[in-house]
Amino acid sequence: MTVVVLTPGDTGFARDLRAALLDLDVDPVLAEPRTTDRRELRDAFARAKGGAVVHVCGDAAATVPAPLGETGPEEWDRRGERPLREALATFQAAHDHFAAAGGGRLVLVTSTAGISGAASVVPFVAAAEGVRAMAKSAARQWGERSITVNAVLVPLALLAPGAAGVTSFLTPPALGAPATLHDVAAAVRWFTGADSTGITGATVVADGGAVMAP
Amino acid sequence: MTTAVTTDDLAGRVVVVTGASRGVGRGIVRHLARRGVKLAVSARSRDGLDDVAAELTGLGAPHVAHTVDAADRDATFALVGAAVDTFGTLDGVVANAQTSPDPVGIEHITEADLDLTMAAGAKGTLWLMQAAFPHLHARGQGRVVTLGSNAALEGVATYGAYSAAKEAIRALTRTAATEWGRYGITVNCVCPVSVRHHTPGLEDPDALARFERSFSRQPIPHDGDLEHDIAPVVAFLLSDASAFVTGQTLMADGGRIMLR
Repeated sequence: MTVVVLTPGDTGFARDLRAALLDLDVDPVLAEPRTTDRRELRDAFARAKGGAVVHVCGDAAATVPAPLGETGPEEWDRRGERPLREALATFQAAHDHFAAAGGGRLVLVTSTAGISGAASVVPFVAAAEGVRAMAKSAARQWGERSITVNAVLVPLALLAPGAAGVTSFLTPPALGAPATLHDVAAAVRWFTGADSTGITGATVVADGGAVMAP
Repeated sequence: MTTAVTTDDLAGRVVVVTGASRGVGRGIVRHLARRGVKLAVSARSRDGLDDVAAELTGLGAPHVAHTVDAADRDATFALVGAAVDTFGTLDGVVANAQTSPDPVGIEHITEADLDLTMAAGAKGTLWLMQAAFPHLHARGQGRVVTLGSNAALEGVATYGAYSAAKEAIRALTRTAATEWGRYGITVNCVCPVSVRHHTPGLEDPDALARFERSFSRQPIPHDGDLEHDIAPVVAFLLSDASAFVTGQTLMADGGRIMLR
């Protein structure tokens, strides 16, 4: 079974996702603390002998609602650029580790709010789509080194329950019930396993069919 | 809370696969058979069907095999009925059958060309969805997997009729997903890139070199292997691991097109 490292490991969502993955017989290592230090992350991945790294972009702190007109540089940096820098450090560190190991699986988990847009959480929404673009670019660059990079998008309510209201305009999920951590974990697990080695740069939306475009 | 699931949960499932005798369909059937799926397979030609049936027998896979033109609604309903009669239930369907005319420029596409590609592709997909629906609805769960094409998404020249059918299939996929989600039925599409199996003339070194160069644009720079690269993506969408994924298109193309 592939060793999965979950980063950043100091959020409630990361802990909940780890619990859900444990139910699927995956025992992920939580990479703590949150950092943008590439070397520190690379060493953590190497210590864990991780074959897959799952990076989560988005948490309660990044999704505190605020009107766009009142979003200043400090807030933009904290809720928009910092998540991007964290993702960049994780991606680069994962690349360093995977390149030395002969390949690996990088999985991004973030919110569908990046696709749909969402009022009041503009810096985070920009980060969510920005990091997904980064994931696709990484997929294009690292595929020939047997490093795959894919994304799983989840409802904002799972990443940051307090911000769920800002996506209330979305069509209700076709499957009716709200997404659970187990639904997300199952998709994440698939991207860390052997059955998805031929797929990279892909996005799976695990939201029950609320966002289907295009 | 959802029960814990694995991606290796297909053993014993009952799945219908159309267009199973060659190409992508053959790879899907072979992969599912090795994972213990009970199969109902169809093909247009008797010879092709006999060949795949013999392979399934060799693999020890429980199966029924029917000659079916996917454009034939009654025959498609009979295929699904045979699966249920034989195995007692239905878990999912893979609408793979597709007939294509020779590639020509848009200005040369005839009505017959368009009818040919839409009949097996878009209509065949719709008939299979309709045939499966009562059984999946009655169970309160089910999986429908359709096949699109990266050629359609890229607008590859001379594939106009084929591409029209394939994008119609993706539209049907999203609509069915929206309508049937409430019944626990997921509907998703896979767009594969696997060229070698249907590209003639690759014994010519120049043609082979052009073929290999075409994959240099992909992050994973090789043609999709039917059984090991394409079929596992279909299997994922048939499994419990994708229980909350519906209305989506997954590209099994080595990263060639990053659709969204």
